[in-house]
Amino acid sequence: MARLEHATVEQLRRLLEFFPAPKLKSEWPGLKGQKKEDACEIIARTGDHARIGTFLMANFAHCRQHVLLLSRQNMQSDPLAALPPSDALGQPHGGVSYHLASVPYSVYLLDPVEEVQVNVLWPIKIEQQDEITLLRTFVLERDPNNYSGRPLLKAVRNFDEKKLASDLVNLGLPGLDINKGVKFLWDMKAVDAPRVRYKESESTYTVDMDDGKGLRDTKPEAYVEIVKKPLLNTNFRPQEDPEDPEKTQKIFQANPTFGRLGFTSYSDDPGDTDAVIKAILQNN
Amino acid sequence: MLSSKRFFRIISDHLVATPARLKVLSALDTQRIYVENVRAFLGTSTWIARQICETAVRQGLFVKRVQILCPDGAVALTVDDEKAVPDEVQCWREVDGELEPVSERTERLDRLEFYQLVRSTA
Repeated sequence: MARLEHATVEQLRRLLEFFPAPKLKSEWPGLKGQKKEDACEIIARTGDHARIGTFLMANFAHCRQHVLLLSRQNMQSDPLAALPPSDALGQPHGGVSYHLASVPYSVYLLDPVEEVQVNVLWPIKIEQQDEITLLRTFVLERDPNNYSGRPLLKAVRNFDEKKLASDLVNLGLPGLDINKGVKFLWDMKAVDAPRVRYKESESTYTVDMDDGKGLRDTKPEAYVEIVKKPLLNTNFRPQEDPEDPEKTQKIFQANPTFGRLGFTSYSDDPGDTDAVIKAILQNN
Repeated sequence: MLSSKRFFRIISDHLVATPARLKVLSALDTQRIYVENVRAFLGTSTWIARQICETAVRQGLFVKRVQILCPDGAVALTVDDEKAVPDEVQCWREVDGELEPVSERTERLDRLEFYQLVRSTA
């Protein structure tokens, strides 16, 4: 836990800003009515690293995250080897571990011009399930929040997230093909897709549905053909639920051919993210 | 290991099983067979579909090739062997509504395998 224990107030602020405001205010009830950025600063200044660490692990599923589902071709491989340096945060139960990495950014400030190095703390969750590894990371912002009070010219992240997949392949952890599991959810009408990208024989097609309609319900003839092809980046939307009108806003992205999921909305129910992953794997 | 006779029997068993599957196979481009095409056709798991394709490669019925995908999923290059992949390929990126060519390092790009039926067995 060295990274967390030695984190500066700025690093803790940035870490806390990954979380939805209602969850922060629920854990620290005295902050009701505060703006999120102020609430994060107040919590960071408490310096209660243990409580922040416990909060992080308990609320991981609420945050915007990328999920890589990996096939463990090499059972000895450690996915952390492909990630920036990290410390273990905790291992709440068998096969699940939390880690905290530092992602370096070069930040260029003005008045006067100055290059500053910023390390953003980046939570990671790893879950080992037999021959599958689930690697979850929070969605990193393009620029780290600027607390300097000076204008920001630009920020460069010195970690290439795009290269992560090929580094994992080299470690013997290629993406797991989840076409079958994803298409099962689609077929069972748990989700529909307003945007579909898929591989045809000599071309790659994208279908963007008008007005955010779902392809399966709107174009069933096209749907039965598309589900025979490898899917690439596709947006899925949960089916309408009269008891939860906001559910259909929670679009998630899947690249089933390469075993990737992206949950770019905050999740109120920690089961949302986990439930989608579990349903895909159970039917894959 | 599957014999070529058995491999085709598996395929043909499924072929006669349903007209829908016959339609799928007839629509398949034998020069671009993805594991997912075989899985969807046989209604099996991805693992079994991959084993069938790899068995066909070992028996000389299929050859495996690799496609390098641009960040938007478009195929930039198809190669016979991963060792033949160049350091960079050209992709296209939309900037302010216009398409611009951009060089992408192949180490950052996804690779998609597919199979081709060897023509002499077709």
